[in-house]
Amino acid sequence: MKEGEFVSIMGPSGSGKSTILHILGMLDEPSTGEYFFFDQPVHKISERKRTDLHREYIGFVFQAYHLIDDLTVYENLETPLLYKKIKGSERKSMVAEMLDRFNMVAKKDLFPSQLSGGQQQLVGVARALIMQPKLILADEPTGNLHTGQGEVVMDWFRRLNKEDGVTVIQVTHSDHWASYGDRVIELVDGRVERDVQNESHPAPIHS
Amino acid sequence: MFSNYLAIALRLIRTHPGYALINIVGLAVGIAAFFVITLFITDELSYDRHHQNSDRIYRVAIEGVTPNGDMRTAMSSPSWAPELDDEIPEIESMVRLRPPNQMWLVAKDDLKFYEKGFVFIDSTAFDVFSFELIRGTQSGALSAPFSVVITESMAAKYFPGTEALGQNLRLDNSYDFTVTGIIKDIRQQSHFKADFLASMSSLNTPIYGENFLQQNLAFAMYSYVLLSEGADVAAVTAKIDDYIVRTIGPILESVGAKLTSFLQPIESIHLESHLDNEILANGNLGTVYALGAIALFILVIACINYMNLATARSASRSREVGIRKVLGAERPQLIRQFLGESIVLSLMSMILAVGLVLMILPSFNSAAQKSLSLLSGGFASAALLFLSITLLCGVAAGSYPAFFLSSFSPASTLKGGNAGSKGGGLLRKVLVVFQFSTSIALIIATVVVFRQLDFTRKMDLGFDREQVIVLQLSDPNIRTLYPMFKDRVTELPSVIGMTASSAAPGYFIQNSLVAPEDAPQDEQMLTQNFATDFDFAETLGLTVLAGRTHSEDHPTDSLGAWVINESAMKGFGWEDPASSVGRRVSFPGGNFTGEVIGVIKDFHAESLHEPLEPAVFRVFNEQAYFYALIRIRAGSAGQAVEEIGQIWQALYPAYIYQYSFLDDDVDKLYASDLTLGRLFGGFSFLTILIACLGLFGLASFTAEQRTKEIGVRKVMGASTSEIMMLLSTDFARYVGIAFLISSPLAWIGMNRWLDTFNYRVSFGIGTLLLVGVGVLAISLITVAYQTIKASLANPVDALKHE
Repeated sequence: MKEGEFVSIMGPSGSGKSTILHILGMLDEPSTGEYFFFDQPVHKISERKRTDLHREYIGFVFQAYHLIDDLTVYENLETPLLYKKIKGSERKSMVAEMLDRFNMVAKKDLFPSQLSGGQQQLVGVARALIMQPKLILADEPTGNLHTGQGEVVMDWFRRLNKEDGVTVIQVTHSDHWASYGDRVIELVDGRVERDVQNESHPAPIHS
Repeated sequence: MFSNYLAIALRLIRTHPGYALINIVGLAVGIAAFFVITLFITDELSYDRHHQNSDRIYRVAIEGVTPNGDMRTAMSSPSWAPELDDEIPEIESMVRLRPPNQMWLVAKDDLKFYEKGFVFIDSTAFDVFSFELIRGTQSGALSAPFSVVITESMAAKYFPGTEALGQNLRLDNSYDFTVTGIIKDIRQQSHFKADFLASMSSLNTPIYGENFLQQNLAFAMYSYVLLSEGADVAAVTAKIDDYIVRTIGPILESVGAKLTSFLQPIESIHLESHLDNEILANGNLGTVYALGAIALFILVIACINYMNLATARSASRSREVGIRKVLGAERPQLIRQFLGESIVLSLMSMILAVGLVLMILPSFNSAAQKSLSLLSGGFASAALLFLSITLLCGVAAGSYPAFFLSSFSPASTLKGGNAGSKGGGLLRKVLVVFQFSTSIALIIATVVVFRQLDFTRKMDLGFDREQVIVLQLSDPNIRTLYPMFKDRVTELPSVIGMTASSAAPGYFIQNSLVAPEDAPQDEQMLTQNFATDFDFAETLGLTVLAGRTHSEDHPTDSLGAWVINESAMKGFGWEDPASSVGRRVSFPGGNFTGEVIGVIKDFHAESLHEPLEPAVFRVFNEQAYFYALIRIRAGSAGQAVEEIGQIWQALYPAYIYQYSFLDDDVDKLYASDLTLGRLFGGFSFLTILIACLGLFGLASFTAEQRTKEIGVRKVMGASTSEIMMLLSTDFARYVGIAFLISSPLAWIGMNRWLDTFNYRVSFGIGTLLLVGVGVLAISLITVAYQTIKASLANPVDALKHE
C-alpha cells in the first residue's frame, strides 16, 4: 500500500480483515511474511522500536469506539499525548484544537456513556487524529452507527485523506462505506480475492 | 501523569462505590490494626532502655536448688551488693532497691494516699539509673537517713502550688522524710515503679527490722550492678558465686541448699524475666511475637482483598489496558498507573485508618493495660510509620494487578475475548483460603483462651472464693488492734465469719523449709507457710480430711499445732490423713515444733499456672497477719462493706479503708491471660471482618461473571434454590479447605499454650468443628446477598447481553 491511499478492506466474517489490520497496526505479529513500514522491517525490529513507530505514525478507530469509560472526552483525547510525554501547555492547545475541529467543546467534560454512539465515534476519530498520524487504521468504524452518523465519520476520513494526505485503511462489511476508498481489497479465507481501484467517487463530500 | 491516575482512582470510587469501599475500609482496618500493634510492640520493647547505660546494667538474680524444690528469685540479700561492689573490679557501681511489700501510707498533713511507688534506694541511684533531677543536687540527695526524692507528679499531688523541697512527708504515720530533690516522672516503661526515692540509710531503723541491711541470707532486696564497658558477664557471675560460697556457703550446706547467681540485662527484664518476686507483673515475649504475627496477617489479609478484587475485575479492566496500549502506552507506564491507583486508594485508607486508630485505642488500652496514644512516639515517627505502611500496602496490593493486567495483549482484549477473566483464578482461590485459614486459626485461639479462663473461674479451687472481703493489714499499728477489730466485725449481722493470715489466695505466699521432726536434715521440704488466725479453714470453706482445724477451745493450738495439706502429707511420705494426725513437724533448726492436728484438702492459693504446693498452717500472733478475710452473707455485700468501713474508721482513723473481694483478687492472677484473650478476640474479629469484606466483593464479581451460566442453567430448568446452592458451594469449599489447613495448626499451638497451665481444659474436634461451622455460616451469610440476587435474576436479561 502506498502513502496517501484510502483503502477499504472487505470480506466475510473470518476472512482475516481484522487480523491484517492488527498486523498493520503492529498489535499482532504475522505468522509468516514480511512487513515494511516506510523502510523499517517491522517483523524484525524490537518491541520498543515498534511502540515508537506505532506512537509516532498510527492512529486507531474501532467499531466499539473503545473509549476509556472512566475518563471524560477531554481526558480521553489527552491520553495519547500523555504517553508521548507532551508538555502540559502544548497538550492543552492540541486537545482544544481537536475539540474545536470536531465541534465538541461543549461536551469536553462529559463521559463516554453520556454521548450517543456517533458522538463517541467522533471522539474516537479525534483521539486517533490528535497524534497527527500518517496512517489511520479503522476497524468497521461505522459498524455500530446509523447511516447519518456513519457519513459524518466517513467524510472526516476522506477529508483527512485528501486534504492532509493521511493514509486511511478501513475494514468494512458494506459496499457503501467501502466505496469511500480509492481502492477496495476483498479478502476470502485470508487471501486477496480482488483488488480494484475505485475510479469514481459516488459518495459526495458532505460539509 | 499523577493527576491522571488520581482522576482514574477517584472515578473508580464514583463508578464502583462498593468495590472501592470494600478496598478502602478493609485496608484502613488493616493499617489501623497494624499501627496499634506496632505502638504496643514498640512500647513493650522500650522498657528500661531510657537509662543511659542500660546495656551495662544488670540485676543480680538467684537460682537455687533446695532439697525439695527449685527456686528462682529476682531478689538477693541486702548485705550483698555493697560488698560485691567493693570486691569485684568490673562492677562500676551498684544500687539496691526495696519497694514496699504492698503499699505504704504516705501523708502530708491531711493528704493521705497508699503508695505503691515508695521505694528505698541507695544514694548511687543517680550513678546507675538515669533519673532526671530537676530540683536539688545529686550528691547527697539520698545520703542522709529520712531523705526522699520525689517525682514531679508527686510534688504536685502532695504539695499543690507550694515548694516541695525541704518539706516533710510522713510514712506510715511514724517516719518523717524530708524532700531533698524532685525528679522528672520515671517513664512508665520501667520494670519497677518509683514515685518516691527514699534513702536506703533510712532502713537502719525498725521499718524492716534494725539489722535489715546487714542480713546476708534474706531474699528481700533487688540489687543492680553497673558493669564497666566490655566486662565479661560470665566472669562477674563466677565472682559473685564465689562470694556467695565464701559468705553463706556453710549455712546453705547445712540445710542442703545450693545457690548460684545470674545477671539479668535490665533491658530484658520486662519481657523475658519470669522469676519469683518480680516487682511488677512483667510482659511476655510470646505475646509480643503473637501480636506481631497477627499484625502482619491482618495487613496481608487486607492487601489480599485488594489484589483479589482487582484481579476479579480484570475482565473489565483488560479492555482499558488494550486501548491504552493502542494509544501508545508502554507496559511500565501501565504498571505505574495501576500502582498509582492502588497507592491513591491506600492513601485514602490511611486517612480513615488514623480515625480508626483513635477509635480503637481506648479499648485496646484497657484490654492491654497500656496508655498508648496516636502520637506516643512523637508526630514524626507516627507519620512516618503511617506513610510507610500505606505505601507498602499500596505497592504490595497493587503489584499483582499491575503486573498481571499490564501483560494483556491489546489485540486479544479488544477483540472482546476475556483474556483476564480466567487469569488469576487459582491465585485468587489460594489467597481466599489463606485469609480464611488465618481467621479460623485466630478464632480457635480466642475460643480456647476464653474457655480456659472460664474454666479457671469455675473450677473448684478447694475454697469458696465468693462473698469474701479482703482487707490488707499493711501496718504494725493496724495489726496490733486486729483482735479488737475482729471482735467488732464478727458482731455485724452481715458477717458470717472472719479470719486473718500471713498470706491469702491471689497474694504473695511465703515459703519455708519444713520437715517431720524425726527426719534427717536433707529431707526438709520447701512448703507454703501460712501463719493464720483461728477460723481460717471455716472462713475460706476448706475441706478437712482428718483431725480438726485450729480452735480457740484448745489453748495449746496457739503454742504448737500444725494443720497441713494433702500435698505436704504426701511430701513427708505419710500414707493417709488419719494416720498423719498426731505426728510432729518442725522448722529447720527445730526453732518451732508442733503436732499435726489436722489434714486438709489441697486448695489453689496460687494461679492454675502453678502446681499445687505443699502447705502448712499454724496459728500465730496478730503481727504475722497481713490479710483479714471476712465472709459475708450473700446479698449483703454493700451493707457489709459500709459497716466494716465504719468500724475501720473508728479504730484506725489514720489509715485509709481499702478493701477488695477475694474472687476479684483471684481473677487478677489471670490478668495477663485475660489480656491475651481480649487481644486475640479483638483482632480475630477484625481479621474475619476484613476477610468477609473481601468475600462479599468477590461474591459480587463471581455472580457477575457467571451471569450467563446462571441464565443458561435457569433456562434449562434449574430452580432458584439450586442456583443458590451452586454459588454457595464454591465459597463453602474455600472455607472447608481453610479449616482443614488451619485447625491442626491451631490445635497444636493452643495445646502448647494450655500446657503452661497445670490445670487446663481439654479441647478436641468438637471445639474446632464449632468454629469451622461458625465461620462457614458467617461466610455464607456474607455471600448470601449476592447469590440470592444472582439466582433470582431473570435469565432473559442475562442472555440478552450476549
